[in-house]
Amino acid sequence: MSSEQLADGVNPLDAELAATWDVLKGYSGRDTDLGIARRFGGAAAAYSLRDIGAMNGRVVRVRRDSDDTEEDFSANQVQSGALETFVQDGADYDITNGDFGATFSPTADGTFTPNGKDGFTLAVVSSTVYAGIKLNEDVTSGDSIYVSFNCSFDAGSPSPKIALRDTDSDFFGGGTLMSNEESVVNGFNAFTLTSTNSSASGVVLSEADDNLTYSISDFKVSRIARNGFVETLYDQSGNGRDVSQASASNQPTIVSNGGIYKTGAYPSIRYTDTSATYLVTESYSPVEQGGSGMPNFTLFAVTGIPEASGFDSIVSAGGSEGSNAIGGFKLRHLKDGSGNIDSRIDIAQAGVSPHQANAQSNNATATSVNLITSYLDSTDDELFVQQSSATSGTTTTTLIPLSGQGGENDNLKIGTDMFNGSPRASYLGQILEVILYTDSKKSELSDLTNEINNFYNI
Amino acid sequence: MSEEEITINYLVYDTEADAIARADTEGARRGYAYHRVGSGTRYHTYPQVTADSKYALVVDGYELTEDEESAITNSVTFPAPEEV
Repeated sequence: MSSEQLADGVNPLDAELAATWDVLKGYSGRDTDLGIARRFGGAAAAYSLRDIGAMNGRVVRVRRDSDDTEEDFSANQVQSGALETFVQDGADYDITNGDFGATFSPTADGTFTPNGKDGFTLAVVSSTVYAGIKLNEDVTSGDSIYVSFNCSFDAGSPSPKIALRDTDSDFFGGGTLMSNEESVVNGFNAFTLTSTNSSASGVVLSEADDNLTYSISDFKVSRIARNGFVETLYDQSGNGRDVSQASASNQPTIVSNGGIYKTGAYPSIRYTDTSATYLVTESYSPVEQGGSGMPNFTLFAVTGIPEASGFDSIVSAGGSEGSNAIGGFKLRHLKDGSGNIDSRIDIAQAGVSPHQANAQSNNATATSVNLITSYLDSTDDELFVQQSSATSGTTTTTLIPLSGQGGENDNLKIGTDMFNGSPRASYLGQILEVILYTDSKKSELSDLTNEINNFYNI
Repeated sequence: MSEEEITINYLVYDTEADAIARADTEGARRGYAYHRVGSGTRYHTYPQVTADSKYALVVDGYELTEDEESAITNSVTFPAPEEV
């Protein structure tokens, strides 16, 4: 019998407890409302910007850069825009004049569908197209404006670029560039555009390629930069194993230029390798200190498309040295030259060097949101990207426990691994969710992955 | 076109405690949450151990004394990873 069945059928207290929450807080379901982090026997630790166990409680604590004030947010507040509003403190995001417009050159060969000030959809057959929005005042040379938006490459191979231009004399025409010009990517974008000409009067996206469609949404522009950083991701398992970052320069970003990071349609958190951004528990490690070895585990990580070509650590605990002397594990992946995801789970094992005895590679096709899954038990281990399995290993050697580096080296971390107090292989890209069970969920893997995949439409 | 070289300013301390104390002072000057309400962000940057077992603190953006200004170094060697 699975622990899911146990929660529902055998343990009446669980079901009744769930029903009580329904009454008090207006939930519509029974035990499934507990969220994935509190079911299937309960996760050891679980972090997400959606509600996977917080039960309408806080999921993230954010520091805004305007005055370094910090505030907690629930998943609903993240989704509703309350978090963005908090970070936008004191900045004016109503500095446009009119709605988005477009000019096709030399002739109108395609369709442009504006959505007010929020964005537009552009379908190009064979034209150069300038699409943009006017500002209520010109941007003086040397001054900057700060934009953020989501872009969806819907068809063909879009390659839009964004810049300030003079939109007064030639409405969105191909006038002289009046700022740095930046390439727009599929997904979340945030840019600082610095004026080089005091006649710069609008933000314009240019597209010179043919037979394509792209869409812009959640467009935000301000003359003041506003950014938000994650100080704490709260543990939604109920075990209180929050991950946090006390050093501002090492905090991952959740809001950039007034807009919340998104992976596909889902709010997410961006980690940067150059700043070694990461979050770490205060004292919890799933790996034994001393003792007989590392416990069985099942690990789920939801990410965007990795941006680095070298292996980055999504989640880790313990060491990462080739000597294997310090024990621990790390879940990693990279984007290869073909744009596929190569993933790896590195687990220290006695008699095996380097520290990647369970190294596996499965070259899965990247999608906007990706699920990496790994489990380990006394007889087996396996690694998946989406639901595609890598080669399955057989665990016959003794797993190495931690040897006592201590502190953050050993603790559960998101966004890096660490040796000798220094972050390494720090992540470059977006991480949406990490769920850790300290037992094997091999028999329930299908139920768990289906639940995650269904939410993220993977 | 050559890439612009980024210069990082460090102060190097003999002990971790001294380095953390300096980081704490800057965090308090900036008014981070820990220093106002007792929880949350405490430091602007946090020291890292160097190859010669000292502690390097990135001090870009710090309010520095004249003595600290003169003690800044741009070159610090960190332990080399042996990882593959």
